[in-house]
Amino acid sequence: MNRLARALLSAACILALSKAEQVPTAGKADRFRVVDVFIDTQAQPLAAYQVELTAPAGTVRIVGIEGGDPEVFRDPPHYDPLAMQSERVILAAFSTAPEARLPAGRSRVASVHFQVVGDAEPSFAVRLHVAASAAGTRIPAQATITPATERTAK
Amino acid sequence: MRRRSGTAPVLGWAGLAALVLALTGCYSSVAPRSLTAIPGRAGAGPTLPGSLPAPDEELWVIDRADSPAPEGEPAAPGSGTLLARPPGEKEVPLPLRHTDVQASISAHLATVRVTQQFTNPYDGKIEAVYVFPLPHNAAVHEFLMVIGERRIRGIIRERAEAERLYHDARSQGYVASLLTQERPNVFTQAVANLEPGRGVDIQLTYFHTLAYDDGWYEFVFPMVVGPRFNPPGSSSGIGAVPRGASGSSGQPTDVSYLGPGERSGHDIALRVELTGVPIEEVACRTHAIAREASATDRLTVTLDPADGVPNRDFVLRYRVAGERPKAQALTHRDERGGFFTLMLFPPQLAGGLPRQPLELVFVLDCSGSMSGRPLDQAKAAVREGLRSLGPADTFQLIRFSNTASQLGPRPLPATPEHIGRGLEHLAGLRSEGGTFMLHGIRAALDFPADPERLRFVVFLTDGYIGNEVEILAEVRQRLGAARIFSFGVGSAVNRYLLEHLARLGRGAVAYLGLNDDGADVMSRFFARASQPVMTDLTIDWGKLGVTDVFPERTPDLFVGRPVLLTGRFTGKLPATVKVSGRCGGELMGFMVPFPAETSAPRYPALPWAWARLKIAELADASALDPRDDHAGEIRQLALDYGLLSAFTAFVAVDASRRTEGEHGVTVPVAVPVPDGVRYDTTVVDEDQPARTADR
Repeated sequence: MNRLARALLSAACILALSKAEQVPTAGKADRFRVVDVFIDTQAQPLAAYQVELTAPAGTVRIVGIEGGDPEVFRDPPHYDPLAMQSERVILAAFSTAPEARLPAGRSRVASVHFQVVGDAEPSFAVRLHVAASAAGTRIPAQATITPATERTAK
Repeated sequence: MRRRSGTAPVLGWAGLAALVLALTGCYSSVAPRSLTAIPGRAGAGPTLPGSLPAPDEELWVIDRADSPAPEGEPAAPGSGTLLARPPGEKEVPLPLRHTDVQASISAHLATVRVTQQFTNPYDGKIEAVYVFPLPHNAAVHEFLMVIGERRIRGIIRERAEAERLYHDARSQGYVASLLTQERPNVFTQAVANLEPGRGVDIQLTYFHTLAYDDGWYEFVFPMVVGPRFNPPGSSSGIGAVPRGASGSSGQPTDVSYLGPGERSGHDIALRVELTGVPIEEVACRTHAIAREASATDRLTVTLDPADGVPNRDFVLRYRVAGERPKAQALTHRDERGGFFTLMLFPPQLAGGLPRQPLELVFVLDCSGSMSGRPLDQAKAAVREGLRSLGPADTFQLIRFSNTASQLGPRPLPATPEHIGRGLEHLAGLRSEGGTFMLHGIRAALDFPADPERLRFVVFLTDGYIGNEVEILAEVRQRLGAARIFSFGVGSAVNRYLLEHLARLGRGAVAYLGLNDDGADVMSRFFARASQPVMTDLTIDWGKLGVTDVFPERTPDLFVGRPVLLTGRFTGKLPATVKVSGRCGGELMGFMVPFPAETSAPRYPALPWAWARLKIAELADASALDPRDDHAGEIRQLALDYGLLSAFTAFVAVDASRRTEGEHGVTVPVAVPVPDGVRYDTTVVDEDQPARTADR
């Protein structure tokens, strides 16, 4: 676990990827929306990650962080409360599951629920601080976000 | 959302520790079970025609889709056993079906995960509102809303902002939840847009420190908020109203109570895991429990499913095997700095010195809520107290309800004749009227100090009042050199008030449950009071930089009862620090060892525990001087540490799906009055003003 933690911390300031996407919204009243956060590790199993979301344009209020699709990331990731005060979302999660149970390829690791405030349509930037393997080493990966489709309770 | 310039902060050790805790914890998620109900009575607000209960309608269950758990099988987390009900008791379907509590205790720190399972038993959408208790020192730092298999983490926000977000989501048809704090030990959970037959689980996690008394640690999980009395003119209290009369108390928060003969389907399962130290003895006088030792240092205690009615505090006491406890320090350091807790025990020598003569002032709550068994218990304790006085002591006996009165104009010497007079006076006391505690406090503290004696004020009350802030401010202003010892009498007392009284008064708190021996509890108090007190404690920290130590006013050190100090530090940890104080007029001291930093276990809960204590101190300071507004400081501290407080709240919205139609009626979750408390002397009923006035 120490290696993994060290990898997370030491790589925290390294910008792995920055990508901005426009989130389509309808209506101009304060409204609620969701974006899904994906991490693509190609073929490598993903054991830990830390990502940051910001909205360079538009005003949003975060109202929930949802867990992802892979079983090991089903629990919602933790967020940094200090960053949240300025509506920056820094999410981090890890799993100690065996490598065979870790997701590889493109996975939805989290979703961010938010309220859009005012008329301006928000755009998000996502930055992958780090993605790590079960051995605690950094792995190449790409983070993206997409607007969520409606979900039904399972 | 606006980008903040500069380097992005990252989750450090504290965050990683939190991740470890979260991912190794025991989550439960249960698909909702539907209830079928016919229209009935369940709260104020608009009513959907022909579907939801109207305030004046009765409600009966005619069908229940789920079946009870197999006989003899303990309630697994989230299973919600259907309890047997006495004949003639009527079940009232309410939107809270089950509460599951999972506690893990290591050292004197407990991590508790509470899951509240809300479900909609009606055929229209509802908003469920539940007012519930938690320990007053609970640092609530995690909040999840679980919808089926989906888990949404709530966000800590400024309270007004969280409330606005919740109301926006509610009005737009989104499933949303809001957790607010009304008192340090009273909280409100609201869940909006709960569709018929659907369920939403709310999971909250908190840390708190355990009390230690005479070799026993005590874990308490409160299950119901007792009915509070609010003095006339009070508009910031907590009201007690009958089911269906929500909003009628004139207070910002109401607790709805089930009437006599009514029972909701809400039950509770509770499991406590004690780890890290060998346990010598476990005792629970409040509930039936099962225990299982899986290793010498691991013991699991489970609440008997047949005892799952949430109408009184669950109190588990345990004793650690081995030598008597020694003073110790726990530390934790992360990117926010260093945090410590010192647990101080008096030195062995203190037991052999004579005690100072006492001026004992017994203050007995004789209001309506103490009627019956609670007052009997309190009287038994005071009887024992009077009989335990020494010849050099003096005493006074004060009762209060609507007014206060006392045995004599001044404290009496503890002669056999005076004690007999006191016992006679005590026997004639009856309970009636409201809990005007201010009268009792003024009577107890507003007379000249006796320079020959140490004044001990002993309060015996259930603490069922809504004006705690006013009471505590009054105590702080009038205390002088007196020490306050508070005795909580009853099955679900207001521990926040009682412990705060004792802390402000540099005394101690004790609890007298309905199954306890009142004389025994008082006799243990006297055994402790008969030992000398170590006062004027000071600590030589050496080169260690220490700040923000709480409580700010260091309590006296009584035999068998440690003092817990929590603070922040910078610099290298020393091997020991020196504690000094006065005992029987003599200067004494002892050393407290610190763990070596390299090998010390980490206690990631300490920053939260420290922040919670600081918030409590700031709130106290605000109460003492309302002009000194600490709200901003409390708010910022709570946001920085992700903690619930009076000025912050957790909100969670499922923005992925909008439910159809209006948000529906608001249904308060009615709760039973605490065990031993009479409904007819405590719950306001506007239909019967005479009874209301009698409080």
